[in-house]
Amino acid sequence: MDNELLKLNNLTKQYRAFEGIFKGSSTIIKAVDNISLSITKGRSLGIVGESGSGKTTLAKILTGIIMQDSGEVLYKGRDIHALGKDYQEYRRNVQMVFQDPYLSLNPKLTVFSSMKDAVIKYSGKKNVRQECENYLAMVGLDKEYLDRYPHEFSGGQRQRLSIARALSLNPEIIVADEPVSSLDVSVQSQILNLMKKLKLENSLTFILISHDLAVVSFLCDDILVMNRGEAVEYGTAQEVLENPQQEYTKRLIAASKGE
Amino acid sequence: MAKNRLLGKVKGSYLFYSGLAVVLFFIILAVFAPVIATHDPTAIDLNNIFAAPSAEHFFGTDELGRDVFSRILYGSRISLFVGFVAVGISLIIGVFLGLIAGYFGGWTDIIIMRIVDIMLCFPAFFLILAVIAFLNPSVFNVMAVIGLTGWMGVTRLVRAEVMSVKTRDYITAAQVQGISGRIIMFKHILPNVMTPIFVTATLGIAGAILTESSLSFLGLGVQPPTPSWGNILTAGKDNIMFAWWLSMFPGLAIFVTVLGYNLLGEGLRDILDPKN
Repeated sequence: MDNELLKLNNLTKQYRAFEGIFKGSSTIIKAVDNISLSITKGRSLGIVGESGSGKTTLAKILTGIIMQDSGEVLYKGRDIHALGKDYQEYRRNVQMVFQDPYLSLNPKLTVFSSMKDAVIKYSGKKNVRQECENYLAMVGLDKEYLDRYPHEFSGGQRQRLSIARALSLNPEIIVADEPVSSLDVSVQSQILNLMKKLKLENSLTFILISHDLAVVSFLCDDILVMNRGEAVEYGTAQEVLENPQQEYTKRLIAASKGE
Repeated sequence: MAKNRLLGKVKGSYLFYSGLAVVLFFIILAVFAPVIATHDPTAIDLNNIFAAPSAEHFFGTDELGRDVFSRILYGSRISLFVGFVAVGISLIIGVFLGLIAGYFGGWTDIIIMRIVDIMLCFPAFFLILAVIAFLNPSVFNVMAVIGLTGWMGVTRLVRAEVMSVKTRDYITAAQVQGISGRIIMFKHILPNVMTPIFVTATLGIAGAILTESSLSFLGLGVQPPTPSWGNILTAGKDNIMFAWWLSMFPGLAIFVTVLGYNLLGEGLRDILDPKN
């Protein structure tokens, strides 16, 4: 178990949906319901499910953006909300790439200004620009792009920038929430190939969230299928794809084949 | 792309242009007052009191024979100075508190916003009058007091904007990277909430100029012999029956300047409103 990076134990997060302003009645929606899983170094996990199945909530909990109601997230065996000064270490090692590249880059900052704070924080003030250039090169972008603003880029380029920003901390895990769903099909494959290359060359572990089984099966070693907050099926990619146990998974596989 | 659309809107906005023209006109007058002025604004000429407007004295002279045209020119310096500095003070306080309240939320937010509510309960002008009555009336005190009583609107505006910006993915990304709250607030959020602040600031300058004039009119603002639009009016009110120019010209200067800033503010609002 030395290589275990993240472990989730019985994670639950509920939201309360109010019906009407004055009625006061509410229904509880279980966005994440009793999910347990383990992420080991080098084995990327795909989380699949339709809209509203709790994938994004799960991603936000394990990046520490929101707090779960019950259960725990362990980073190298320790609860992420009780890490003390090692919290920064967890912060650095678990990074995130967002769905919509038009919302995930600050429109008022150049690429360099967006990136440099994190680089300075974790690698010191020396050669900041040089380092940023290297990260851009890793995602296949020209170093001149550092001084441009986000509105000058296409969707695919923006998503590359988002990945470069996540890479700039040299993380162990990158949580990618629907990283290609808002891109053109041709650009999707470029981004997926880039992620696969980074995974192999930099021993990165991805947690890839998608509604598309084809995308997940391309990149991931394990697959978790979610429906209404619950884990429907969890196993290696091969098991889940070739021998699905649940009706829901079979429907997803059928849908991804366009049947 | 976005910038071109903005430029297109600027071209079509007569509000913005007329406001800008008036504002620039008065700024130039204020800056070049010593060059343009025909007389020393404080030079007394007792042989020539209450002279009607003429080629020698464009706007006539006052009860001490001072040239009203020159006094209004120098008065515009005071008005603009007070306007800009007072709004600057309220912007600094308002933006700072608004950022903190909006970003941290929770108790910080509740406490700051209740202070705002309390400040808004006071009738601002009487609060200013009371404070100035305790302190000595001077340009500095007038600026400080107007600034210190005018930040609440800015705080509310900035807080609301920050609350909407902070949920965007690029802010979440910065938080996930472990960047400190201070840097996120001032570097990542602040530039994204500046646009509505410009509009409020422009309209605020108009308000500050009016308040300064009112205070000086009541004798609690800029003290004679330093000329200010408000205290020229005070002299005018006593002699309005036969020396109309003493009230007319400073009144007109205040009216046109305030109108100019309001037009500029409204124009800016139209241009920056994404719904147009």
